[in-house]
Amino acid sequence: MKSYGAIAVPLDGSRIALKGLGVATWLASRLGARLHVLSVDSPKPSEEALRELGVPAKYWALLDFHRLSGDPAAEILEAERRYDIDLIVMTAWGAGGRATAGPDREVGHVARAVIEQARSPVVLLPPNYKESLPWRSALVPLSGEVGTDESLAVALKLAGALELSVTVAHVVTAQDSSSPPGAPFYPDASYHEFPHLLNELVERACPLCTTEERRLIEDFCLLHGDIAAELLTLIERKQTSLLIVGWHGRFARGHAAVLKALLVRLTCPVLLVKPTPREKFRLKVGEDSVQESPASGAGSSREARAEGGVR
Amino acid sequence: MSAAARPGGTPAFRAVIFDMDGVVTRTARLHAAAWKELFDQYLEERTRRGLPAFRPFDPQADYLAYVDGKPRYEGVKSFLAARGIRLPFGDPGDGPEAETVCGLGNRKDALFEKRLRAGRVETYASTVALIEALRAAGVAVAVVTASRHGREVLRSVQLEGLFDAIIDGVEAAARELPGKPDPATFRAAAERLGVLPAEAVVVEDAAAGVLAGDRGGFGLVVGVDRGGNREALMRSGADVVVPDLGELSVAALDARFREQARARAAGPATLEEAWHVEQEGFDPAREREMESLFTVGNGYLGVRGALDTPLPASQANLFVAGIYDRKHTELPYSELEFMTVGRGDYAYSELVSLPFPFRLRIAVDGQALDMVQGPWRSLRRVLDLRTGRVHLHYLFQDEQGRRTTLETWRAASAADPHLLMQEVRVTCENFDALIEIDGSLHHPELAEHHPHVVPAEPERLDGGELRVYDTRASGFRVAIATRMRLDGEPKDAVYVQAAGKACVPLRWRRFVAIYTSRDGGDPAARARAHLRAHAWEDFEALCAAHEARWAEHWRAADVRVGGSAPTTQALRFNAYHLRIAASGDPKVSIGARTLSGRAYEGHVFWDVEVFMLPFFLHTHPDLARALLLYRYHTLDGARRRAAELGYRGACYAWESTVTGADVTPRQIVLKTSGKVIPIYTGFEQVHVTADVAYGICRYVEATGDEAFLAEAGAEILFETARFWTSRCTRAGDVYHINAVTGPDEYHHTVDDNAYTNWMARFNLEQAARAWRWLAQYHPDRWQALCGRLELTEDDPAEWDAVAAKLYCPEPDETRPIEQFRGYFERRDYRVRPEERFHPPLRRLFEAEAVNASQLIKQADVLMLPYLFPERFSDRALAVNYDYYEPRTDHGSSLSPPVHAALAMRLGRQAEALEYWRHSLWLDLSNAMGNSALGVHAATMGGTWSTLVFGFLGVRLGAEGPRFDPEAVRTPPNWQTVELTLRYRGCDYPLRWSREEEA
Repeated sequence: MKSYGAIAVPLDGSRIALKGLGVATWLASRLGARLHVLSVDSPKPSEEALRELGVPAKYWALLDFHRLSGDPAAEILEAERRYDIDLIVMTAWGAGGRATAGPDREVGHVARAVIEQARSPVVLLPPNYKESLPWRSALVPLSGEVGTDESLAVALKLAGALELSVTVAHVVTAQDSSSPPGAPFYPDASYHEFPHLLNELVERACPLCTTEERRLIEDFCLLHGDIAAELLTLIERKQTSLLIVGWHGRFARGHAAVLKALLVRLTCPVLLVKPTPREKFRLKVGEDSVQESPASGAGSSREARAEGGVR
Repeated sequence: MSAAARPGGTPAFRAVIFDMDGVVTRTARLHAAAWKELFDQYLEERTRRGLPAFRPFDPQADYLAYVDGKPRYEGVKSFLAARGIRLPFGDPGDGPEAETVCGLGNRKDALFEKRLRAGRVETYASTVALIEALRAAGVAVAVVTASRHGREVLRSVQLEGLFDAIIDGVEAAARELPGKPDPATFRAAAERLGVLPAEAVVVEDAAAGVLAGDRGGFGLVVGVDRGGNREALMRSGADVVVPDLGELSVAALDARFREQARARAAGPATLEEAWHVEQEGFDPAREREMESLFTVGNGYLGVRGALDTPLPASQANLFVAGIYDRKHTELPYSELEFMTVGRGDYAYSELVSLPFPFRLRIAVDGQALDMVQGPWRSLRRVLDLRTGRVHLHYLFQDEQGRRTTLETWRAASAADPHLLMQEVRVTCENFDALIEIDGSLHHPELAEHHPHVVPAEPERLDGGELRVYDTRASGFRVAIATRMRLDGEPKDAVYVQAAGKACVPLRWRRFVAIYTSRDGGDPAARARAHLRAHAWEDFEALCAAHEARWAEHWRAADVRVGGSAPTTQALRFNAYHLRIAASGDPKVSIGARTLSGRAYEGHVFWDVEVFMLPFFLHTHPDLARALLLYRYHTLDGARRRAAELGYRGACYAWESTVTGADVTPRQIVLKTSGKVIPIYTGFEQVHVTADVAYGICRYVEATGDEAFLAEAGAEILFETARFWTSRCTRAGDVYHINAVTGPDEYHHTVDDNAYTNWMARFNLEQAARAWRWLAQYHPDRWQALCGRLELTEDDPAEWDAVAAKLYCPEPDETRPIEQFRGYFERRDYRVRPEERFHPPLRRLFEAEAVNASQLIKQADVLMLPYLFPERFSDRALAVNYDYYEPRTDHGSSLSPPVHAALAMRLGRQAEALEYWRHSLWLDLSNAMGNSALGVHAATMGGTWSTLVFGFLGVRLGAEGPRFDPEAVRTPPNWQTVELTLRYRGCDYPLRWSREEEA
């Protein structure tokens, strides 16, 4: 996994977008990264603005300003490639503000294009963002899906560099009304299966991380209820500095429902991490003919088969 | 082109599912045209109003830059902004005439719809031609699109009738199907067409759609690259990428499909190939699962199949049977959450994980060859079932193109339980380099990974290592000694470096000797002596001895299914794991996940006697005897336990380790929520006591080993029968067993559980029988035992009396046996398909509700026709099966093999095969999602019983095992089945053939 050598923060001349600069500067100084300020169709921020944002004068010289013009999202994505950016910091909204908000418009269209298309993880500052530096803790929700749970590995690398303590949470969704009543309870599953399952959830998410990195996981919380609501409560209780979320990279209607619900209410930044492509893998077992795999399995096994396991 | 794809032949696939936009139709242009019309109209209006003139909309550049992929209003705003025009946003309800962002947006929508209606959508003629050819070949065709206008678009070009199924945005929204890359919409189409995803082809032009096809398990995923997207499509999982479908005929598609099917249905093609289980590729997230499957062992020990240089997150463990320790204090993450209360200090509560004895570090010119750091190209891990070896083949290639292959194999000797062997070959393929091999077993993070042990001072061993570990609480000592040598070197050395020449392999070999304080004597001295006893010249001979033992095993245990190599492979895989789980040491038994994983902490349950034992009875009766002797050696623990619970005789632990004490916790506490979950199984699941008695009777029946019965079996039967007489309560003329949990653990504290009562009755009857037999044939032993156990003639009389009056509902052809008293009054519950086979974590939070329902976890009443088939007529079986099967969610892996056997007996083949597949490939398909924690030995044993006594209808009689021709029912693709069954000291080769049967 790459270290964080180059960070980009896009600005569009608005006060809102400038909020990203404070976090980005702090991150760059803590990570020893180069900070690329991408001013899209806007002038370089004034020294006064930098001062107001609390960017210490000694860092000004570290900033690489790039004046870009054209379609903002395309320019940012192009700059990401050009400067080999490892992390992007931006606000959910820019100059356009929230005026054009409609359903499923928790982020502006530039931010949306960037979070969907960027290769690198994006630190997104939500509309109700309140700056609180330095960061001290991170929360990583895991769903059990191997691809998106890779966010934990990214989280541990970052936490190591920033000295953050990490909490992992898994939210068991409450049974919806369509589910049957009186769902069963496993007397021995509760102490034999489930603890191990939760361990596996963590281990499977960061198989290549070192023991030292894993030690950064300070707490594990098993929650029950609405995912976004439970996470928000936990964030408040733990005073989480950064939420780290693995997602599929699609913000369209019908996707990323939890993320959208979080963005509306979050006050801390959220680091969005997309899955990396997986290597081909197969276990050469299975049935004679073209038939569906032996059984419908648990989440992980479905995933396993999707990755080319038993057919 | 293969013969299979001959023109006019029936394609191997049954359906093709097309994405719409970009594959069938070209609406992007239509959208662009609508945008152009809108903006040109509007800009013109402005000019007419005397506002400055503007450049018209460019359907290429402007479309891509400002409107493509954006929501409509955003597109309007963005384009106008680029032309320096700012309009009020307005309201989505604005009419098309309103000069607002919304108004213009709505006008565009109207223009688009007008174009649709005018039939101006373009189609790809090559796609339409392919669809027509497919239809002519009898292939079903569907189209899937996220567009809400999907149907209109197709109608506008008169293509609607071309598709057997259409899933568009309207339907997806109504059914709440998530969009691509989720495969839900493609799967919905397959379902509509009545085909399995594996039988269908997906054609897509977007990476997200290709990914959906790949994730959905479709037989072939075709990517259509309309320009510059090829790489992304390939990366997302496209099997084929073409610039246009004109390049693919039906025959070509068929050839690719068959090719892909061959590659994917990677199971073995022949019975010879079925001796191997092979993993190809590397997925760090599945590594722990692979480690379980590729375990090597010999019953004395098991070593998980980790890479030679394990990943940081590997569970690279060595387990030695019988080495338990207190629950470790270094809690993993989840146990921060799950605080187990009630067995914290017991010194023998969990199986100890010991350091990996095959650990290696290899470097080439200073570059480590491992899967984390090394620039690897390929990995294959092969379990050779025939020889009990695991092979790993790694290929590394650095940035300069320097290729190094690393081939290793390892084995736990089947001939010498204390001996492990490992061989390594390193070959620099195209360069010379300095190769370093470090075979030290030092684990830098021992405390973290192996918290039960503290290392003692390592002892000196020339050219090797001798590491000694003490368990923290149980006082066991384990010694692991190793020495190794590089070919051509005069001496053993833990670390060697050598000049590697291009294409010249370097061979390195290692011996490991393992002893524990359970073996008697000083383990370190014994390990050292054991290593000394083996010279490098003996290496081949030791391998040969190991393989000879495996050959013996396979003579006894191999099952060959002609017509299904994959079935044979899976049966062999199961027989392999059962074999390496059993040691012949009468002081230990087999834990639920054997020596292949940490789950269930090495605890021994009822499933040894009920599910695993039959396999051993008829393949390795000596091992079966040892498993039962374990119960004899823990009989004192069972006596103590009965006394603690206020009963007489012996009550076996629900979860047992080495002393016979019960190690089931009383409750657990969930930290985050503070929720307390009581555990009832420990003191309620008393059927285990009768299950042990059942195992003894089956053993004596299968082996005729009367000496065992006289020496050990009878005493167990007497003591357990005594327990039952004290555990039963009398009400009027009937005895009851109250407040128990049956095999179905969803219902605790129930009265007269049918399974428990039947088994207790069996226990009582058999004890009385054994008493009479012992008195008649072994009067001395009988007398001694009576004296020691203070038994009198009244005891067997009481056993018979209680057995006769114990509440035991008999099979009835009109109504099912009630699982326990009052079960039928509980709220009815039918399991939905998606609930079956795996436990959602959610259930933790919804504890008690289930006790009030009829939902059951696993076969409970149905265990009775499984264990006592002759007691149930087909009709009586059907009545019970039909009642309980729909109420069972198979949360236990023990349940599917039972249902497979019973469904097959009832002639319900499809249902039987579903359960059979689930059982047979349980670990190989990770069907429970928890194989990373060890293999499911009881399911493997149950699968074997289902095959032999269910599908093949084997009956045991005076002439030995025979097929009951009336009862044989096998899957349709099986042509022959050959196996050997051991019965009363003789081997009976059996062969069933479909042809001969016919």
